[in-house]
Amino acid sequence: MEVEQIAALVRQNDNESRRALFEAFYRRTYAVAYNILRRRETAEDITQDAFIKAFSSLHQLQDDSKFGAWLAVIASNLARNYLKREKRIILTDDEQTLHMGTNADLTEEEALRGLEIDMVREAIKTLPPEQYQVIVLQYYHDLKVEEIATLLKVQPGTVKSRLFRARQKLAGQLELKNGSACLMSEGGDR
Amino acid sequence: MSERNKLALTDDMIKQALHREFEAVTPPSADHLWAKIEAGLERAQKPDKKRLKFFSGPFVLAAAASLLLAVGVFGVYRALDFSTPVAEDSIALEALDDSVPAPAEEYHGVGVMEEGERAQAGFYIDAETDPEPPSWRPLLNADYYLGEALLISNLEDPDYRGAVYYGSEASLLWVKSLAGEEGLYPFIDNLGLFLDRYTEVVGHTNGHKYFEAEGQPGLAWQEKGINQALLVLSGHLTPEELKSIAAYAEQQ
Repeated sequence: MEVEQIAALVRQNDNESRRALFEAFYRRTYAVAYNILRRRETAEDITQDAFIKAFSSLHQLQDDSKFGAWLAVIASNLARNYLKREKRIILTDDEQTLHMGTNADLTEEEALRGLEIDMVREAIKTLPPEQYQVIVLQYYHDLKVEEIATLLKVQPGTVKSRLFRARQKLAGQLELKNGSACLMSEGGDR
Repeated sequence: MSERNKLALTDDMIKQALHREFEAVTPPSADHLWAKIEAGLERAQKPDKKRLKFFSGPFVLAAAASLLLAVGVFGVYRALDFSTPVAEDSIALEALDDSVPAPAEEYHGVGVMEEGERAQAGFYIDAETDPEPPSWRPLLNADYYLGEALLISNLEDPDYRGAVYYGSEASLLWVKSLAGEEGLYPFIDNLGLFLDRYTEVVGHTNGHKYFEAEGQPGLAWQEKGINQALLVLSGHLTPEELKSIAAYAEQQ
């Protein structure tokens, strides 16, 4: 969905536009909650609560075009609070397997690249929620450090250090999986 | 090891991994989830619920003085009459207009967000006026005057009672829990849910827990089995200053 279209739907805020926003964002919102919680039912509840909270508080959104990122923050905050409140060991019911597809049509280079991406995917799952949150906001929603800081209501320095630690942890995870492979991070604070 | 086997973690790889992850997830049925959201939205639309905003920012001196005068008069009135419930919209909010140019000094305050009003920098609470407030102290630490008495709630969790206090340095929220069996940690967590802020305990001393709600300091304690917390809503206070104010609250 185009940014202008999202902003228009947010401004309308009637049932029809809410449904359209839900359709456009529910999958990725659920994915954010699921990746923090690793339980389908709880992730569904958090997704539900995140949309209710978002639609009830749309006037708090300062930039309509950032609805998706704002919703991701709400969902991840709810999931983080849930984890903290439950203080329990999360037993994953993760049935998802890596969708590597059939590599028959891929060149060796493409197949190798696919494997590397899947390793990064797995490594991302090991990030603590507060690091996962900033990684999603920077790399999926393409937000700048200052924008993330505003959404999370923290100092830009906090965002930078969370991003740094997240990339460091990802690199460490990949190193473990890939033996003594050389790991580099671009470390792109924007 | 050959160059070929070296794996470089790039921004592009993280980006691709996230996109692939979000595409791979199997979400619940959209219709089923939407039906639950619609029902939840209906429940959440309480007609008497209002949204309070707390802000820090530059305002003209006259506007700040008007607010202080209104708060001061109200505080004195409260000091004289303990039993009177706090009236809705009791603060002279109209005096605050951040569109007025020529700011003179930094000030902070509170207002009721009007229907359709868009958010600016600040802190927001969904709350309703408490119809039967407990007897909140009219003054805290001599500097903070009682404003709104609130019922704070979200969709499922137990309601908390709260009171907003205004002072020259900051505005504060004093919260008491109605859920007797709740420990201090769940109390602080729930407070975060009510305020839509991530709360984190950062220290403790003599039965008090220091916490932060995304940068704003708070202090929680238990008294006669009731969980209580003081949280800075706007302005700046150190945890030590907060503790000295809490000492007044505990004298109740």
